[in-house]
Amino acid sequence: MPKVESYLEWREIARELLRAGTPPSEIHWSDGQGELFADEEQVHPPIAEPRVPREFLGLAERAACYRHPARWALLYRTLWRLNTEESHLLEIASDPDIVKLRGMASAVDRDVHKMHAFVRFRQTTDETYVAWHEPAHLVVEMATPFFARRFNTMRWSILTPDRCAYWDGASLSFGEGVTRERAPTEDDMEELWKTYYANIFNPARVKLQAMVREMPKRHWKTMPETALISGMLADAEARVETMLEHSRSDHRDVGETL
Amino acid sequence: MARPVREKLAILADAAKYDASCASSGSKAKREGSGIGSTEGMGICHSYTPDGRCVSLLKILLTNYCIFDCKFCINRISSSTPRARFTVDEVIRLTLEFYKRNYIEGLFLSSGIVRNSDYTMEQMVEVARRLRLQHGFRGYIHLKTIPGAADELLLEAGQYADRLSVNIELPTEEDLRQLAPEKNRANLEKNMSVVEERIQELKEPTRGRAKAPVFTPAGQSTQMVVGATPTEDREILSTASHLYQSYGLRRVYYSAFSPIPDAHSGLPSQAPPLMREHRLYQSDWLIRFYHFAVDELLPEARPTLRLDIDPKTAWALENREFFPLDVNQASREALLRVPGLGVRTVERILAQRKHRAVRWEDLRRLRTPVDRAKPFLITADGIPPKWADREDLIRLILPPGEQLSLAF
Repeated sequence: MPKVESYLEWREIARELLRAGTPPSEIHWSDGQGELFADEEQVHPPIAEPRVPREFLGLAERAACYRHPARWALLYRTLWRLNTEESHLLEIASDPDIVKLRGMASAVDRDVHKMHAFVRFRQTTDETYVAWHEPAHLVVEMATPFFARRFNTMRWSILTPDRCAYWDGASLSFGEGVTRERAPTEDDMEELWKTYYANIFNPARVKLQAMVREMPKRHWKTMPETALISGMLADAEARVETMLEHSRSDHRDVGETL
Repeated sequence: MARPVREKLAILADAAKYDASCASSGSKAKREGSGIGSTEGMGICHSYTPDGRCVSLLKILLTNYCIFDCKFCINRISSSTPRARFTVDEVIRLTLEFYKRNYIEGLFLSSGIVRNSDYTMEQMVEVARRLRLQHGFRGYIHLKTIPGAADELLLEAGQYADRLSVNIELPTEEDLRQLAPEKNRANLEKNMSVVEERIQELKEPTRGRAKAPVFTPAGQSTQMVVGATPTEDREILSTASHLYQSYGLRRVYYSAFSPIPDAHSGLPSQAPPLMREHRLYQSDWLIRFYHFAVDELLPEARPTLRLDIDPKTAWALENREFFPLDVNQASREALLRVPGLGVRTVERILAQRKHRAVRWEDLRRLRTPVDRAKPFLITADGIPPKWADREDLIRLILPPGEQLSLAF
């Protein structure tokens, strides 16, 4: 068995297994590799021409980035069912396998989106921009073409513990993951960015849960502005009280105007 | 002496924060130019502040000096707030440097009115023009247009901006008269109509021209302050409906009146009515995507939204004769009226029931709030709808936390 590390590798292996008519129960997938159990148990005839709905390809490619070893087995089981008399399986949204598959794909989508949102570049002395980011799932290859389209005139690197992405102004390449020490620790614009962040906040409308739901704490350590949050919250109540006091003391001549 | 940029930024971001919109979605413009930037349709929130709001754009005023005296506004001429004014260059530099570090999707520029409307609008157009033409910037730009500005300036603004907006400010003409005496409805709507006419004009089939020029690809939006006057929700939503229909607006934002430093006497001195704001957004959503009419959600006899339950559940409780619906038979439109069923769940139900009857267990796996939907639906399990005729239904279907607390 060759190692399975990516969607494309999984797809090659899965196609062969399917053509051989190997049922999901005969395969033990683990992250990194899949193993066949004893061959003689096989009862299903070969599936000569495996077919899937177009939507499955997109779902599978995304679910393959989900950081959990169980994804390969789930993908193969779904593929198997689609090819053995359940060709409309994707339309049964409440099927437990489909719930899981869609759940994985949306977790990956969300992580890609959060990477687009929360990467923070720091400018280095030689006019390149470097970011350190810690994605929840294995999304570096999937998420970085966006940065190549957007920051096409800059040179940049995005470093993560899993993989790193490099853009030299013309092409995107990938390398091994690194540790955080390789990333720059400051940028001159961050003081202005924090000034903006602190002042766009309305202390009269604190909704902490809404913030944490959309900006999970696991990302805070790579986002410079989050260092201000505790201070902003500590001051908020007092600031609002001052505003209200001020306007109450001004209220002697109400009545007529409204 | 001019203030340092950092001080100006503190003042002019603070002054801009009462504008609720920070959206950067809906634009897929392929702009010419070789500079940085992209808009791919989906907006991105690059950060969130502890008020739960998204930080997507650099949202600032060009200046907070203003010759108007709108009573709800922190920047009115009679307020003692500190004043500042950015130069065009400063705004451009902040936008580009923030953008390159991936802090923002682009710029949302608004301004107090200095000298006159045209002068102010011209300064804002200058920022957008130079970002696009001189720096080849292809990120998102939202400009707030100035009431009374010349049509030519609005139309030029639309060439560079992804979105234009003008704030309707308050829900009725009378509210405006009281709180924003220099503004009037006709004037504000004129800005919307000039832009909408051009949008429609460019939609017509082109002849001899390869492609229509880019013009406000993310359309128009507006905002109104809620709770500064006693105007009822029914009037607020009617105004919103009128604006959606007449000017093709993409969004109407509702902003709960929030206490401001140095508030004008005569404005309510209280915490902002955030739950009311939330219910207005829910209703707005039901009107735009669930085919509800204002009159259905708020009949003349009950012009105020309930704060204790969402507007769809409120409607269902008042229209029991519409239910129960058979989840395996009812139309898409009917299912959308069931409390707890959203657009996506309904789509999935429709897809599944072609192959296999839908049961409660299926709905549970789709993460439907089954307790809320139960009195209104019949499924393949054959269990008659629970509690459908109970007077106190509302207490049975809402989780205890939601019944009493009107948490802000």
